[in-house]
Amino acid sequence: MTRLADVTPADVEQFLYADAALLDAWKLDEWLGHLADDVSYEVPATDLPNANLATDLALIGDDLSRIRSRVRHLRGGSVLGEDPPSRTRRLVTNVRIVARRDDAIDVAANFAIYRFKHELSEVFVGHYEHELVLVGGALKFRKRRAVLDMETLRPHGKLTILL
Amino acid sequence: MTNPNREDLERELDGLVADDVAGGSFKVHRKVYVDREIFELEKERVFNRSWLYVAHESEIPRPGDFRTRIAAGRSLIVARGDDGAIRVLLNHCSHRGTLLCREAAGTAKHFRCPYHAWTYDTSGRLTAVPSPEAYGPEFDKKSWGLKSTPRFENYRGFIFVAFDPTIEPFTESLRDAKEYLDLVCDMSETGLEVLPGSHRYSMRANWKLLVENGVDNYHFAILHNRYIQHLRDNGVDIGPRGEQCDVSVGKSLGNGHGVSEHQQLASFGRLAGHWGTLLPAWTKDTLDALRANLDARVGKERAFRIAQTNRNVRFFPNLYVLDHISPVIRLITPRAVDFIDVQEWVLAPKGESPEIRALRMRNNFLQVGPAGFVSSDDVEVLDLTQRGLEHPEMEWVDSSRGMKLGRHLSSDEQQMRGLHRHWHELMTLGRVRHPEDV
Repeated sequence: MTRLADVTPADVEQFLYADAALLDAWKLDEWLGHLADDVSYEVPATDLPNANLATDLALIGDDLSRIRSRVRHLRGGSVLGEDPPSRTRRLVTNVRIVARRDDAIDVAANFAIYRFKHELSEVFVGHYEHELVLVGGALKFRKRRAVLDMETLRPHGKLTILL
Repeated sequence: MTNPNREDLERELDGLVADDVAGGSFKVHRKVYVDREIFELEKERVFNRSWLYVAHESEIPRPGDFRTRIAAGRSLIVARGDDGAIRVLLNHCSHRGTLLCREAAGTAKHFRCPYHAWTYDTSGRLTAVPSPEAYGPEFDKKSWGLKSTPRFENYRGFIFVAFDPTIEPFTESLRDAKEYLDLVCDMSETGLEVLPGSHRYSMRANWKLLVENGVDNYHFAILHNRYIQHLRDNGVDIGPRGEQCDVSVGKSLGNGHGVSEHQQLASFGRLAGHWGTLLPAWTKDTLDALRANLDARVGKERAFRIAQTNRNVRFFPNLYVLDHISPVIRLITPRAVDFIDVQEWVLAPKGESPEIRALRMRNNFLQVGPAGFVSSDDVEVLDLTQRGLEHPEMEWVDSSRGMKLGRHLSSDEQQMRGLHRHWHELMTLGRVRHPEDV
């Protein structure tokens, strides 16, 4: 792929499925390769799904340096809730190209991420609002925004995996 | 407790806090955290007899604005009436008890019961009943309004309620914690406001574990080292830590209130008026100007505390103000002996610049909340602690740190002892009395 205009819906789907597989397999260093240098990773607060991160409280508002720290913490065992790592399974569906712009493709998708730990199970449900760009012929996230449908992180209590 | 006899229960309660002042030892029995009967009794003896935080006035700025909140097991409507006054109303219809308002937040002209359409205005007055003549000519709508909480206090924007009409006045009940709430409020000349969005999450832990955790600075550099490491990796000068800080105070403030106040992680910047390496260079002039304003407004000594020290203040039993880079309100709601709901909001000075506001938010995402580099590990560690306390062999929990030395650093534990001493006095109906400042 050399031009965004050549990216097909199937390319986008395959990219998102491969992305989910890397995260479920905890191949986090490899996963970092899916992020553009100017990536923004956002998870709005559950009571404000349309949050503007400059004015509103969110759960996560990471740039690349923060995501790298998250990954380092997750791999190094310093995220207590993920040491040892939980099991996850991501179902990514309803993938749609919402808009094609000159420099990015806006993609929407639904997700259900099951997490298993301490013999308990929980599910994170929501939708993605992604901005994908081409860097060196490969799709990457310039914006990765996961909007949760739950009203509260109950009984999850914490968000220690990557959405 | 397994013993069905009430007298035995009372006797057992008396022995649940082992406060050995002479020996420098303080222990709390595990049942305080895991016993269902004690949890039930707490509803009556702690939550029905304490001032409880419910909301901040900035959340409901206009007439008709409301929030629903849970306190002491009741659903409450915190509403600003058409007359501009704030009231805290019990959220049930006077007719059959149906929960009236089903939304967490909004702006209303009235509250209408979905069952029989009894309708109340935003001040709680009953305004309409279908076919009221069926109740006879004596039916007086005035006596059918929504109930208010017996006591209500708006202290500098922080709204508290109490269900005990005979409770001591709010300001007195704050004891030495008043100074700390004032410190937070004095941060801004223009007043503070709660910003949009909140963190809503839960913990599989007894409520007192979280109420201890917020003033437990002993664990910070250990459990939260990854936060410190992230800052270091990004060129932030962490500054003096732990016992090297000039200011490091952990103390009980009376009535179960407590504080951990220190300069740890304060030298790298506070948006109240102190520039450091956490913050971009362009903010220095703004923060220096804020500091000069603070110096002039509250005096240099107080300005130093506001701008250059961090503090976590516990207002017994359900409120924390976590005043670090930016202040955060944390509301703790017990739901079962081993389960709590938590909600957090960011507070900020009204009218600050969009650039500083964005920076405030950016730093909050990193630190607090269920996905932050700090709080998410607290959630897990308290879950683990609750599970360990299920072991009958883990009989006594220790909070003696600093006691033998008569030392009250932020990493010591007088502020934890103060919580349990007050709790114990409430639970034993004053049969047991504890010293305060040990």
